[in-house]
Amino acid sequence: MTTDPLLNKIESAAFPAVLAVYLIATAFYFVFVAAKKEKAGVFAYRLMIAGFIAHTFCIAVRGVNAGRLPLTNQYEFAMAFAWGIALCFLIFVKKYDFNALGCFVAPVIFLVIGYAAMQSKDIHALMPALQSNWLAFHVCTAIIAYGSFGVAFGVAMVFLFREKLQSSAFARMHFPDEQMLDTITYRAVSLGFLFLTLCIVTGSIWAKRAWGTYWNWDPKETWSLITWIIYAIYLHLRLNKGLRGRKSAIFAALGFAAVIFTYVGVNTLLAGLHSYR
Amino acid sequence: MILLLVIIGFCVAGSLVSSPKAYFSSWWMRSIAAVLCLNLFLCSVKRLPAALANYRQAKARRAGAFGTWLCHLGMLLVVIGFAAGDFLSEEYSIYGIPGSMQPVEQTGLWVRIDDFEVQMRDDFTVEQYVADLTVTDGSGQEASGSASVNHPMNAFGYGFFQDSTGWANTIDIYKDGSLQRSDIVCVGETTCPDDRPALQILFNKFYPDFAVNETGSYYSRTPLLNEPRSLFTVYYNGEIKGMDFAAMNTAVRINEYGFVFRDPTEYTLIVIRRDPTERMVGIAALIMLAGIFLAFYWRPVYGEEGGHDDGSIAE
Repeated sequence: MTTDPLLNKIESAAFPAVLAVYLIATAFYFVFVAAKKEKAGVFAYRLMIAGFIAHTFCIAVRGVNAGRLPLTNQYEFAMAFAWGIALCFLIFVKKYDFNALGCFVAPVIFLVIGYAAMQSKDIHALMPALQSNWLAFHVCTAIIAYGSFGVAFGVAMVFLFREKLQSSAFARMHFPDEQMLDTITYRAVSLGFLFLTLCIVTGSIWAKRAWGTYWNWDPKETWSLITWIIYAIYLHLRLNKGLRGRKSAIFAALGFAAVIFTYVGVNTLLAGLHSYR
Repeated sequence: MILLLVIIGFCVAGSLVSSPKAYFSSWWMRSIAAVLCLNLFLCSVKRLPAALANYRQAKARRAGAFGTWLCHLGMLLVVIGFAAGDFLSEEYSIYGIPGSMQPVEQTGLWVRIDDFEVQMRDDFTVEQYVADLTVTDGSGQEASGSASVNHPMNAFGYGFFQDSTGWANTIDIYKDGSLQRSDIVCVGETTCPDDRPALQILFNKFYPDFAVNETGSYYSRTPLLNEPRSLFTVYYNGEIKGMDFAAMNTAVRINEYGFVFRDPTEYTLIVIRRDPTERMVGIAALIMLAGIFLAFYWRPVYGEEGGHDDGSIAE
């Protein structure tokens, strides 16, 4: 596929910059929490905003260069996945005034973009099966779902980490209390669950149009269902059995492990209809 | 909860097997689905009075009281619809080159492939596969249209899906110089002389633009018909007698027989499907989505006496 050399150069320059900004933000978050340096936290948050802007720019450049939504291969989806986590992170930090969350979310964003760095960045024309408007709905809902689950994972890790810092004044100042952490995790999971359900439904409609059946038991579909059931159990236990605290946090972390396997593990270990390299 | 964990376990195993469709259609998976349906049904019945009570107590956003109930109901209908679709859905396939007409098993339908085109970009990547079809039913009614990837043709209650494609050649078989048989053969198929079925010619592979690279490997430079060659294997009584390439319209001789590959054409494979439960599953999925939305984002507002901040519903 013919691409614009200038846009290729811009994207090639922007991508390492994005990676570097998130890496530096991660380092500053560690300094913020480990060395209890207030300024490091503020700086890390600003870096996250800068990284998010650069990240958005990088995705937009690729979209313009490819002449389509850049959501169709491993590299593009990894970039969008990390973008979704960054977006949800910024929204949750703003809503709950909870910057220390970055200590656990920034490394996840960095690792997902690191995964993108290992993928082919070539821009290919779309194969016929991918030429569908449902693809955009399907992947966009997946981005928000995975982003929310990423934030839920970060909050759950904060919860587990906070237990070790209970008596510290720093923890009291920068980490919400356990009940609030639990509520934030629940809110992130419920948002992710709604969008994961939408993702599965839109994917089924697309599959029906492309292959004639809405469910093929493709490994990616099966693992999406597994992830959906894990979070359904979490929500069920929380709403009906009063699941709270440490167990709730561990459950949210397990759910995110399923998300990561659905995304990385299935694409690399199990072949299927979703194996678009 | 135990049931959901068991389902997760079975799903993990199912993602590793080579034929997941057979695995998930097995009797034990159907049994688990039946138990899940029973569980969801009982849950729905049990939850309904509480949902109604919450609905009556709520001062605003009363529909939210039915959130989890609708979610369970939707899921129940999805599972029932999917399981019913397993029994009631129909799937057939036909393949052929433009101009050919095929019956669709016991449906009483005939499909004529009027045209088939592989639309390519300048770099020879495929833009779209388009098959123009005419479908005729038992009473002689006709429906014409085109089926391409993501745009199936619908006729007589069936969906016609452009599934895959490949190359076909016409193979003429001569005996002592006179034409004995002429077959259209797709890659992977065999043909034989009428009087010597033990002599089989397998059409292995087709190279539209045949070339050999530095390491001696065969490949096609482009998908265009510039230098077409067909790879074939000759079997006699099941034993391989030879394997070679044939250029188009060039005779290959085996004793008194000769055969000629000609007229390379792309065939199309059309999958014909009907699932009467599809609409039900679609509506059930919408009910489930509505339920999730109501449960988490349209929580009822109660008076001073109650309401749960985290969205839970009074049992």
